[in-house]
Amino acid sequence: MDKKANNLLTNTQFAFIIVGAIAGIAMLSLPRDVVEAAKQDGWISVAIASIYPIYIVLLAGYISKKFPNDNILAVSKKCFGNMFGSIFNFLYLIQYIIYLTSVTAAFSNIYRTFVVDFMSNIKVIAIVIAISLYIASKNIKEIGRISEIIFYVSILVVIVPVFSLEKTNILNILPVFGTGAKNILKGSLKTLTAYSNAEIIFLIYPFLGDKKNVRKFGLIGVLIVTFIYTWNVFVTIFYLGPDITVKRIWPYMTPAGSVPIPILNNFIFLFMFSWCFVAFRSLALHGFAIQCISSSLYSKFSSKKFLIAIYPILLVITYYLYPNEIAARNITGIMIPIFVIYNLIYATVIAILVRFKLS
Amino acid sequence: MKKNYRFLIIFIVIAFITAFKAGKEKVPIEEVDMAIGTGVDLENNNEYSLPICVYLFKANSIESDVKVGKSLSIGDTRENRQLKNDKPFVLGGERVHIYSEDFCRSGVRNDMDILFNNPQVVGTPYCLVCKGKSEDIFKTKIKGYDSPVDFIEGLAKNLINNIFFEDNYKLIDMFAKIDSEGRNVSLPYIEIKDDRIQVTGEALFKSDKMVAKINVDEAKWMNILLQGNARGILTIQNTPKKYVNMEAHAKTKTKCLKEEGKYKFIINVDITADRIADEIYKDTALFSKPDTQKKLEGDLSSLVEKNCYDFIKKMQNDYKVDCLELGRVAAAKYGRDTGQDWNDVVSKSDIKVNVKVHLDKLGRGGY
Repeated sequence: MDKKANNLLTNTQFAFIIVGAIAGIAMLSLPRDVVEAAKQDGWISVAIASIYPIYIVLLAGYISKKFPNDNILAVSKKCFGNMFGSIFNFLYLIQYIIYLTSVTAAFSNIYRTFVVDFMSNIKVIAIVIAISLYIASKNIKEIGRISEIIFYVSILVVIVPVFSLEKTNILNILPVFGTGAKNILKGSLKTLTAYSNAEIIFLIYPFLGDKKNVRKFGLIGVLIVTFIYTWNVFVTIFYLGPDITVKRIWPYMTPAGSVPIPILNNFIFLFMFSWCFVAFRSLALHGFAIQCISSSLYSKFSSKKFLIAIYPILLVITYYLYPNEIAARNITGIMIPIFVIYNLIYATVIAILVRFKLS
Repeated sequence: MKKNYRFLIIFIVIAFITAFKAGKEKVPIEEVDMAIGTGVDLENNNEYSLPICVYLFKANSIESDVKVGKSLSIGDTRENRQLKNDKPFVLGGERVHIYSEDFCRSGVRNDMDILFNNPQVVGTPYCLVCKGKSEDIFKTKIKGYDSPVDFIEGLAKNLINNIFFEDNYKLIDMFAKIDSEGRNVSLPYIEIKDDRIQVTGEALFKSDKMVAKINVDEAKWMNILLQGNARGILTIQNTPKKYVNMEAHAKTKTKCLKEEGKYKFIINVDITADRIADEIYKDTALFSKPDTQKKLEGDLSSLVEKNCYDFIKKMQNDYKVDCLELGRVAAAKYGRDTGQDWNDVVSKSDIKVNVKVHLDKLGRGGY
């Protein structure tokens, strides 16, 4: 990858890449997981859980101050030596492969349930992975532009439920704090899965044009995501109440899909259409992360060739690892908490080493 | 430039493949059964019979037909229906959903489940309960309508005028109410009377089971007491020739208090009344004596209050259902999931009704 001056991200693109990486598929299924634990206070849990991405951004801001031109993969090689650094980075690669495949599986399940029920699983997966890897093979400037454009498209997805607010009732979210601190924190833990992939900031901060702004615009990105997630859980509870939210597999579809519009039966198809951009954005960023890590692992191998080589592997993993939504949720339910802990430890240790060993 | 052409060709090829080889054939609407109304009947307490009302398209006119599937479970009726049918059927366009009373009394949960699960089903059809079998309702011929479904949809939609019914009988409301804490479903009750389909009351549900049918008069007072906005007619009558008609707009708000472990509910009904006919108080008195207006408002509020208390007494003693959604208000204030049966709590607690009537428009003038 070249890092010429005209090939760097602007501040807003940087923030929108972070928004795009975090706010993907989890938007639709998040309310169910959170409300199961925290009932009507689920939206508070979501707001609290944003501590995790904020912490990650602060660490990234700190590391970027010391090594503005090296991403975490290079820094970890400096910290742990070439051998161990590569092993840790390989674990990072596995993490992104799981993210990408699980999101693809969820995407396929949602679309085959609501829109293209005549298409087979493998067809949808093949198309989705091909598109996301194609976007990922572009350089960072183009990915930044795509993130920026899709952010404006995705505003539609966020705003649509406003039109269903007339059917809501304030009694659905009362009493606030009624479930107790313990359950709210339990809900926050479940939200961490949705906030995962904030780690992409470690990979993209070298591409930011103005290196001083990593922390500021990273935080702006995280705050936008926090707002989107909190709003989305809040509006779902507001509309359905805590008892019904947990019955839907993708609860956010209900307030969004029930907006009546003339000619079409309801909003669901338009919603799904605009939402697929959101999913492609997050998939493309996962693909980009895979490409970044792979090029740091085997620098001889061109990253585009690597993406072509990994395509059938991703296809096979997605098809056989996640045959249906139950499998997808079970696997991500086990794997993502491990990744979150791994990322926390990995990033913290690197930050400490940067402070004491390499400064 | 060369590169762009390559992508254009790839795009066109993909577009052609998806358009012609997507996997499902496209068929005109005449060749599928679009369900416009669905019903659920229960026969002999074990066999489900699901009539589906569909349009038959002809050269110059539209008729409706009823296609029935029978089986021991609801999803299985598709199999039985297909054996007697020449077309596939599609859900998603239904506008009314009619349950027979027998089915409601045995519980509607299994039907809610199959509809909740189906991504093609939308939340917009009106739900109603009928006397006898829903199949008979769908087979009724109504003059001037293509199908009885068109008529029933209009019937359900316009209940909000003149009889204080509220606009919450859609499928999405059923989904939202049945399992929510402190809420209960009530649906309009229709039957065929004098060869016409008409609303004769309201069916009260406890959880997913119908427990009682109330008549239109009771339903009127119940809907005034329900939180929200309702419009209807109030009448004070002394003799056949001496009466007052008022078009009333009732806004209701409910409060809940807890005193010594017992719940107390206060229902504030705020009514804005427009005069439509007045044979008792008369214009001359209304405009010259200020007390007359107060007397009119007082008479109206005592009328509403008396009837509301009568209904509450009946609800607490006979039906034993919290059909006023009071449990919801209490749960929102004093915490959810406390394990209380709100139907039970509401039946035993003290309910107070405050009615305030404001005289608003008087019309053009009394004759």
